[in-house]
Amino acid sequence: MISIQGVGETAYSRRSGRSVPDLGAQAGRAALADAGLAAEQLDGVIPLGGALFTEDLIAGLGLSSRVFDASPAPGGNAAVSALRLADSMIDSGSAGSVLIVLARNGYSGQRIDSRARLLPGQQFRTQLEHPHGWSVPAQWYAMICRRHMAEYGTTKAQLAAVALSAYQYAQANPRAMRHGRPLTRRQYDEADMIADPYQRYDCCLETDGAAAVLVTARPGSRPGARPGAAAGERRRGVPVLAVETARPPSPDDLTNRADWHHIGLTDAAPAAYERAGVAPSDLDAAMIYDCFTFEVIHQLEEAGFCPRGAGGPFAASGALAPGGALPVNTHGGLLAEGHLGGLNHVIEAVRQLRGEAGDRQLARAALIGVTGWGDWGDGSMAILGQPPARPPARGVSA
Amino acid sequence: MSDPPFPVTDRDPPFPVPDLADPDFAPFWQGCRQERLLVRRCGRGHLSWPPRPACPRCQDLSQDWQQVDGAGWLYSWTVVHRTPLPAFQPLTPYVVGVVELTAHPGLRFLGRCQCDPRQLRIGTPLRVTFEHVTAEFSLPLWQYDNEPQDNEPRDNEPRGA
Repeated sequence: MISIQGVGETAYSRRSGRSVPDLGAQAGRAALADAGLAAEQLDGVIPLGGALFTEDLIAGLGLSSRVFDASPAPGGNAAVSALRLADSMIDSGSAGSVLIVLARNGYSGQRIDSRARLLPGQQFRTQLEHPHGWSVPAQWYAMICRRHMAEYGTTKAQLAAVALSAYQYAQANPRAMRHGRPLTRRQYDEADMIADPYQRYDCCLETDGAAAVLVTARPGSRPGARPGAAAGERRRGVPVLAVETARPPSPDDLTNRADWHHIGLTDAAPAAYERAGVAPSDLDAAMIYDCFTFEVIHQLEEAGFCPRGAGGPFAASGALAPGGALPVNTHGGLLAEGHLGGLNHVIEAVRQLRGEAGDRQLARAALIGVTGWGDWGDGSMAILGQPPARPPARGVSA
Repeated sequence: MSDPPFPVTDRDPPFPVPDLADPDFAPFWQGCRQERLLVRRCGRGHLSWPPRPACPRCQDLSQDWQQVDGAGWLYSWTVVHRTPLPAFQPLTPYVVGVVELTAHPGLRFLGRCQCDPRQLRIGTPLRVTFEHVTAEFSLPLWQYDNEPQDNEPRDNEPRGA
């Protein structure tokens, strides 16, 4: 298994004024420096974001021509599933250390409507969906939210609780794009409608920037690990106890999926808990891929933090917000920090687990779950930190 | 058919007409020209949608087409207020729904719905209608269906809200 040895990022903005390769190299250098690993020692890369390539990282970081690279499926699930891929690369001996970098100009350059055309299933999109004016994730996932509202009574007030919590955390995070710009319930309610029931603040930000995570083998986990692993191993390494990823049924078509609430995470989360030997109640916090407010509620349910249908009331109880029972997205998430494809969620988990989260540092942060979501419900879960000393006891709160 | 319910023709920029020659969809679009709603039927009689290389239930590879009754009910919806597709920007806000066919539980179509955005609820009866967008391309859309659900042949006269 692997551990995360270094993290880094650029500033998050709407206008970086820099190219995607330049952003990627900057974040990559920051993660290498954080890990204390020289670029020459790096022998594996996973470029993410749709417009960043291994060639850019070789040139921008001065990597070996023999660097081993691989790419997970595109979409928002890629950041967490990249950890799964890095684990495989290291476990197989293909690389001793792997740098995962996501870089893009998501606001000033390639925005979501064009990135959506890079996803699988374009035949269904162009044949059956674009002719009806249905073409971007806000419109797709609004449909799932509306169905959940009808089946379980989920409300706009519960969606608002998710958005307000994200903005609350962002006020304690100087890196967040919405830092210094708190959100009131009235502003939330009065914002423009995008795709009913989603209004402006139900939707994530669009961001220029880059984020990077460096992983190596966990100490003792692979005696034959390549030299990069030992060189990068430092006391601050954060263990990845488990990372699992899955696709939903009917993975490239929502309309004829028998159960709309069954997503990749529904299958990935139990596998991750089993592998890590923990239960949802053992986790001190969760970083949930929050492309839209309801997707936080949806994933909290499917990841087992509460039963299906109870996610809305759970959010409305204040559980996710500062001081709540399950702090969620303590950096502000995609809703209020920035959209770095969820690699910023991995970075936030690492900073919390190292005790380096500044004003938003949690009192207790030993074990944190991170989810990925994308591309019609691909889902993943990583569990980072130290396993609890006691035997796991499902349903008993820590 | 009476007045087209949705003004999607004669627009600049042009409507995003799909590739009508796509071998997986050409029979479907030909059916729409004839105001017939077609779905895939495998060699063992399972109906499915959208078309895939094998039957999603039994993996049978022999794929045929079957006409289905265009009566359904609203499974979910969104009201689009903002769209990046230029052809649809003059239409906002418009309703896009997923409609489950009454006679074929689990078989669902996505489509624009001629419904009052303020009066939507899951379960609303809808019926397919076909708009002849161009000489070659007809699009299945969905309207209120206030007719009693039965198997008798009848016309598709639109019913208001």
